[in-house]
Formats: sequence, structure tokens, C-alpha cells
Amino acid sequence: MAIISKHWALPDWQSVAARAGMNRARTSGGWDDYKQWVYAEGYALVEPRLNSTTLEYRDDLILPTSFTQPRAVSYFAATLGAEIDQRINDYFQQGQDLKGFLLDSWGSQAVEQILRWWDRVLRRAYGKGTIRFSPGYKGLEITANGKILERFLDLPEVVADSQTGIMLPRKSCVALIGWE
Amino acid sequence: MNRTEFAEIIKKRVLTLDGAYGSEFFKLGYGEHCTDELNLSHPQVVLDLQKKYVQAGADILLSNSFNANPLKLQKLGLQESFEQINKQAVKIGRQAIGKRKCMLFGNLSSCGDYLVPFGEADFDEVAESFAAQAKLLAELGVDGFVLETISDLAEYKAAVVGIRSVCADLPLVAQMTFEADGVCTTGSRVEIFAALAQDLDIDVVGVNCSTGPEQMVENIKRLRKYTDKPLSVEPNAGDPVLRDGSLLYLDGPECFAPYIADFLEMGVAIVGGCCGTDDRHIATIKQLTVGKKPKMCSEKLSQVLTSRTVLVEVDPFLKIAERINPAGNEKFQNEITAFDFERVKKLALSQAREGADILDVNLGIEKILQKEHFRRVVCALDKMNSLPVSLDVQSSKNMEIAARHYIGRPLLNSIRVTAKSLENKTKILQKYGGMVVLLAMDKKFPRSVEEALQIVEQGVDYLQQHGIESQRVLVDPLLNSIATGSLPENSLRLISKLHERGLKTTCGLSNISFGMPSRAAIETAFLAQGIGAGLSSAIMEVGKTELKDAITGALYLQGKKLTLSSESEKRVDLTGALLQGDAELASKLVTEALESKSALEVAEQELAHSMREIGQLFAHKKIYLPELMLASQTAEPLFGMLTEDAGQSAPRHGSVMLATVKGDIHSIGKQIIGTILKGAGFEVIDIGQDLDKEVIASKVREHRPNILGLSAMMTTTVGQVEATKSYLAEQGLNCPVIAGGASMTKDLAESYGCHYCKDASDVVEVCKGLVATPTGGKANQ
Repeated sequence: MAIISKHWALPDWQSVAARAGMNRARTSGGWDDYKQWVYAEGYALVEPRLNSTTLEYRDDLILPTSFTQPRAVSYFAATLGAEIDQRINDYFQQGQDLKGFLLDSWGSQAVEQILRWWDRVLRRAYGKGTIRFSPGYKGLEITANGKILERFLDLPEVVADSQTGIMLPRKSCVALIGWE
Repeated sequence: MNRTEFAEIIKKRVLTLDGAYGSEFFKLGYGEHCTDELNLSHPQVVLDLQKKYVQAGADILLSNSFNANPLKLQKLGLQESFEQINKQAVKIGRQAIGKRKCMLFGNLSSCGDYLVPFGEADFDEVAESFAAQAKLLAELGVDGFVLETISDLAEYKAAVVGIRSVCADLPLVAQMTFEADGVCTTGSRVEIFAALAQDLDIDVVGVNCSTGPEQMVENIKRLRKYTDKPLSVEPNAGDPVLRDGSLLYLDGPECFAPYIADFLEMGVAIVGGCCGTDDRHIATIKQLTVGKKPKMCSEKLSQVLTSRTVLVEVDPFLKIAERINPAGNEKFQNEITAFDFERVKKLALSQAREGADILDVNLGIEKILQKEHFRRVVCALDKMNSLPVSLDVQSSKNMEIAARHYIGRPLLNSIRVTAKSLENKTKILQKYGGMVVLLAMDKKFPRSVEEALQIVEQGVDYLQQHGIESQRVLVDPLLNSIATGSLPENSLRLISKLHERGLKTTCGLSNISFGMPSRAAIETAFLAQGIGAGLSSAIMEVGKTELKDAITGALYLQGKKLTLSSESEKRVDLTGALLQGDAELASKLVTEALESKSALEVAEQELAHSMREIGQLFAHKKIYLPELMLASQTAEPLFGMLTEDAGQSAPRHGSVMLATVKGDIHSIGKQIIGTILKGAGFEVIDIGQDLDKEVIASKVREHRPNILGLSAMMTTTVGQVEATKSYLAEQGLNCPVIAGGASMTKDLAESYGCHYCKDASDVVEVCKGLVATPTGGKANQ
């Protein structure tokens, strides 16, 4: 498990805005204040953790159906920690839905940003690989989240429900890449 | 790396530039050092920082040579180390990059002094200094240049001209520094900078320093309207704050991240960090730009002409004032020959008041003039914040001098479609920028409209092949007097054809009526018909009401309106006269006031009042440094006259000595304060910068000023104010001390036992208050 610098989690505004349902990034007007706020708030709250392992191919690996015996597989998972989840909940409970909604979108993109960054690091190290998969997509059940965390990764802060695959903290994600 | 390769790279992907050097060295405890000198004394410190930037993902690393130009090094006492510092900068940079894919660009910045009229530096000397550093860096193998943190348009132009004089092959990213309101300290707006930068031989235009990313978004937006070149941006990590006597930048990468998308949306191709940024900011920029392609500019650019402080659009109609021309006036010609440009300045002012958009400047018989005449007239007009200028110059050599020293985007008047004229004038346009009047003639006048069109096409083709777009051209169809039997309908038909072709046009309006009676009526009628045919501009007598009415009417019929002059141009009170440098009007108003008031009352209630108002306008950014200096220069002799009238030999308010403390070479803030105080009737004794406390004390003892003003710009030198104040007290010199400068705060100043001036708005009041107090007498011995 590695504690990583917060700045690796900073998402770009366009992706946050898109996730929040805006047509495109706004550069002026009322959104400017919210934009500054959500970055300051999110940055203060996150405690990013990342764990990653790369294994030679073997039969007990958890793989999407589309994988055809890769040379090796990298499993990795990232989380922003529990505090941001709590703050999102607080905002919704206080009726500050817009803030809750924006912070939620920001957090989702922040986890994605960490995975993107790590994806690039891995590709530089291992060369040609598959696209990045996460359980719940492309022939890999969402319940694989828990199994991957349990069997291959050392990220004790993150737990996944064995029935639903939903992870806690909420702003966490598991991914894998197969190497040719 | 050649320029074509670089252009291809920045078409394909957004590049990350590195972060701050000075503030990082400061954090590491090397604030006392000249950052560039660290290349020699502490190379490992430089290497470690640069390695961090490379590891964070910088695509462009800057050599640690920000101050390493001959002029700046001379100020720092390091001139002997010029070659060594630059060599070592490149060596360390290459070492930091190692085998990674990263370009090393030579970093160049200000020579440390403003060019005339705001400082002492000379354009050619500054250009040479940049040339020397660029030549050395190119020989050392840098991949390109980044010019940054320049706050004077004149220095920017000198830098580009200097760099390109020795190296035409390497890419040049050339940036200027603007405040949050988009104006630099010497009064040029972002738009004016963009218009000039668009023409200069640079690869990327950008802004850096002074503000954080949020404010820079707006400046980039404004920049984009006047240039379609690739853009670069290097924001600070927010505004600095003073903590425990140190100036710190506190904005982390989370304050950068929200604006990266905005920059990319506006077509920024290079993003980096300036003061206060570190490797986290750079990693964030990299993370958010990786794989992104710069957005190309699709907006049509406006056609504009500018002086240093005034921008004028060619649309809907450009009125070019014709009266700065001594033809037929021997006395005026003699004045010009004797370098007396007072009449030129007066005409500049009066024609501006009459509604001119730009001024045609023709110095008459060039054979009896020297190049120096052209340099000086351009500088004289720059100094008085004139309207943009049409350089009506025949000889290419004289044109080159005028264009070189012109600060802004001029109109070059004119080019004939002959090989020699095209070649010579095109070179000037390429080097110095500007729009150009293209005459619809080659060696002879064309015999038909069709022939004229053909000639114009040849000229425009040539210009375009040499990088001068047709957007920069105004075609002169060459009106002939109807007295010669020439048919005006041919001129109108040519204007119409050129308009259809998308070319702008101008003409010497008075030619049409030469030798005829009722000239005004003929010119008015032609002007209205010309505008109807698509005429875009005329060189004309701008004061003639009938001509102005014809323009307004003809434009109305086309559904267009002329914009009215700004309020400041219309002010005819004393403040307005001072702001416009109209000594004659100011003197008249003062003389009128003397009819009902004493000299001292006029000095205090009229003149000092106006200067206080001007100080307020400056402090609130309603006017900028050029207007402030012009007003002060105009007011100063009037104060002299009034105090003389009042029988006082001493200045009205007393004397203020100004100094920048040891270790600090900044002077502009001190100069501004001096300018305002002089304008308000104080005697100002400026003893310079980087001064030991002992030197300051000895000067205080010698001059015995009423007040001492100490300035400290840098966090590292704030403590010197305290040291100086204590030393003065030890020496029994107890004159009041005012502390100021970017790093000074009220609390800090008071803790040192000093008075504090927030900015230029309150300096007059504070000084007057101090002089009026019992302790505000001469310095005690």
C-alpha cells in the first residue's frame, strides 16, 4: 500500500463538469466560485492510497472473459479515503445538494485520475497491454472487486461487499491491465 | 530542434513547461543569492530542482539563466561571470534531463531597468544585451528560448529584435507580465501586446507571473482576440502573503487544476508555472494536459494599430490626421531639422482632440534629416502617450529606425510595388511589425483600374509570400486631383473592387481637390461616396466638421457607427490637461486661476489638487505609468512658476529623499512615488538603489530632507529597512521614515518605527502630514 501525493488525484474541470451533467466546462459566471470551492474542498479532504501488483499469468487469476492468456496482469486499486464520503453525505443531509453533487462528481473523477496516472506509469514499465478494465465492465463481474482486493492487493482501507461489489470508501476503484 | 519541428510538436500536443526557480531557491535557504550565480556556487541545488521538474513531467526545462544577460549581471556585479553562468546553466540543465525526453530552452528575462522614457535603458543597448545572451545560449546548444517576466512593451520588443538578430532558427516563446486587470506596469494592455506580438518573429505568445491562474484566464482570453499564434501561460501560485517576514506563495496544485481546462479551451499550447509553483504544480499540469491537442484559433482577428497605450481598430473607419507634415512650411521644417518637436507634439495633441484615430507623421525633406530625427520623433510621441502613428517615411533606412523604436503596432506608409520597395519595407515589417499602406502603383501610375488591381495583387502576393498577411495591408488607390482631368469614378471603382477582394483601403483625401475651389465640398462628397464604395480610411484634415459629418453619415447609411472618444480625451480641466501633457492648456488654466487666487492658493488648491486626483487615478488603475509621468512632468514647471511668483525659493512642501535598501535593485515603485511627489510640489532627492545603511545615513546628513522614503521590493530585503532605520537613530538622524515596496505592510513598517504608505494614492497626504508635524523638520544632526 502506498500513500500518494494528493496532486495525482486532481481531475480536470471538464471531466468533473461532464460527470456533473454540464454540457461543457464553464469559464466564467457563477460556476467559477463553485469550481474553486470544489477543488479546495476535495483537495483538503482526500487521503489518496494506491496499491498495485503485477503477476505472471497463472490459472487462478481473475480476468475478464475477453482476456486470452496474457503474459502478465497488473492489478491495482485506489481510494480517496473515507473523509470525502462523509462530507458528501453531510452536504446532502444538510440540504446542500449542489455542493454534495459537485463534490461527489469531483471525487469520482479524482479516483479515475489516479488510475489514469498509474495506468501510464505501468505502460511505461510493461509495454503493450490491454485497455484498463474495472470489474463491472467488459465481462468481469462487479463482485470481482472484493476478490481482487482480497487475493492480490494490500489496501486494507478498502472493503467490498461480496454480494454487490460496492466498495467502501465509496471513492475507490479497482482496475487491471493484461500485458502481451 | 528547429522552428518547423517545434511548430509540428505544439500542433499535436500541449507541452508542460517547468516551475519556479527563485521562490524554490528561497525556500531552500538560498534567497540571498542571485539565482543564476547558484549555477557556479551551488550547482547541486540547481540540479536537484531541475531534476524534480523533469521527473514531474516537464516537456520543456528552462536553463537557470533568468538574470544572466550582460546588463542585469552588470547591475549585480557579476558581469565577469556572464559566459560561465550561462555555460553552467546549460550544462546543469542537460544533466538534469539525462536521457529523458525533455527540451532545454534558454531562459531570458528583463535587463533590470525600464527603457526610456520610464527608465534609463536604451533600446539598442537592451537589444544587444539580449542578443549576446541568446547567441551564447544558442551556441551552447539550447533547443529554443523562453522570454519571460517582461513588463515593458519596449523591452519586450528590444528582446525579440535582439534575440532574432543572432538566432533566426530556434523557437522563441515570448511572454509578458500583466496585472490582474490586463495592464502591465508601463501602461500597455494585453490587447496591445498581442497586436505587436502577432507581427513579431516569435513562435509562441504568452503571459507569465504577477497573477494566479484564475486571473490569467481572463488575460489569455483577451490575448486570443488579437493573435492567432500558439499561446503559453505560466501563472504564479496565487498572490504572495507575508508570513514571519517572508513572502510566501500558498496556492497548491488544487488551485491550478481547475483552470487548466480553461487554458486549453482558449488554445494554450504550453502550460507552466511561475513564482511559487513547484514540482507538484508541474506534475498536475502534466497530468491534466497529457494527450491533449492544442486547440487552433478560429477567430478572425481585428485589424488594429496601436501606440504603447492606445489601440485603434481600423473598422469601421480610420481617420488618419495629416497635419504633422512641414510641406510648404519652412519654419516647421527648420524646427524639425533642429530637433525641436514641440510643434509635432502640439499637433499630436490637437488632432487627437479633434477626433483623429491615428497620426500621420511626415518629417518633410528627408535629405536634410538624419536617422536620429526619426528615432527622436517616435520617442517624443511615445513619451506623450500619443495616438498610434502612421510612419510616413520615404527612405527605407529612416523607416527602419522609426519602426525599430516605435512602441506598438504602427502603420508603415508606404510601399510601392517595385522590387526594391517591396524587399526593403517587407524586411522592416518582418522585424518590427505593423500594418502597411500599399500604393496601387509600380514604377509608374497605372493607366486603368484593371492595371491598378493587377499591381495590387502582385504586391499583396509578394507580402503574403513573405509572411505579411493581407489583413495587415491598407491599399492606397492614389487619388489624383480632379483639376488634372482625372475621373474620380475610376478611383471609386478601384476602391469598390478592392473592397470586394477583402482588402482595406486608405487615401490622401486632399489630393482629390488639389488646385480646385471649394475644396472642402469636393472632399466631403468624395469621402461619402468613397465610404459607400467601401473606403476604410483616409488621411485627412480631421478637424473639418463637414468631413467628420460625412463619415458619420455615410457609416450610418451602412448601419455602422463610429465609436466616440474616451472620456479622458475630452477632459479640458487642469487634471485633463496634465494627463494629456498639454503644457499650454495647463498653463492657461493656471494663469486664469491666478486672476482670483494667490500663487500659493493656486499651487495648493488647483495644481496639487489635480496631482492628488491623478495619484488616485493611478492607484485605482484608471490611468497607468505613462500618463502619471507625463502629468508630473507637465505639472513640475508650473509649481516652479507658482512658487517663484509667491516669492519662495524653496519648494512648496519640503523635500523627500528616496532610496531602495541594500540588496534590492528594484526602482520602479520608488520612481512612481518620486513622480507623484514632484508633481505635488515636493523636492525629491532620489539617491538610488541597493544602498548600504551607512550610505543612506551619510546622504541624509548631507541633504537633510524632511522625509526619508525607503523601499524594499523583496522579502529578503525587508529587514534592511529596519536595519537602516535603527542605524539612522543611532546616528542621531531622526527625520521621519516612510517605508514602502511590494513586501512592506503597515504592521511591519510600524514595528520598525516607520510610517507606511499603502500606494501612490496616499503618499502626498502622508508626506504633507509629516511635514506639517513638529518632527517633520529637517533631519536632526
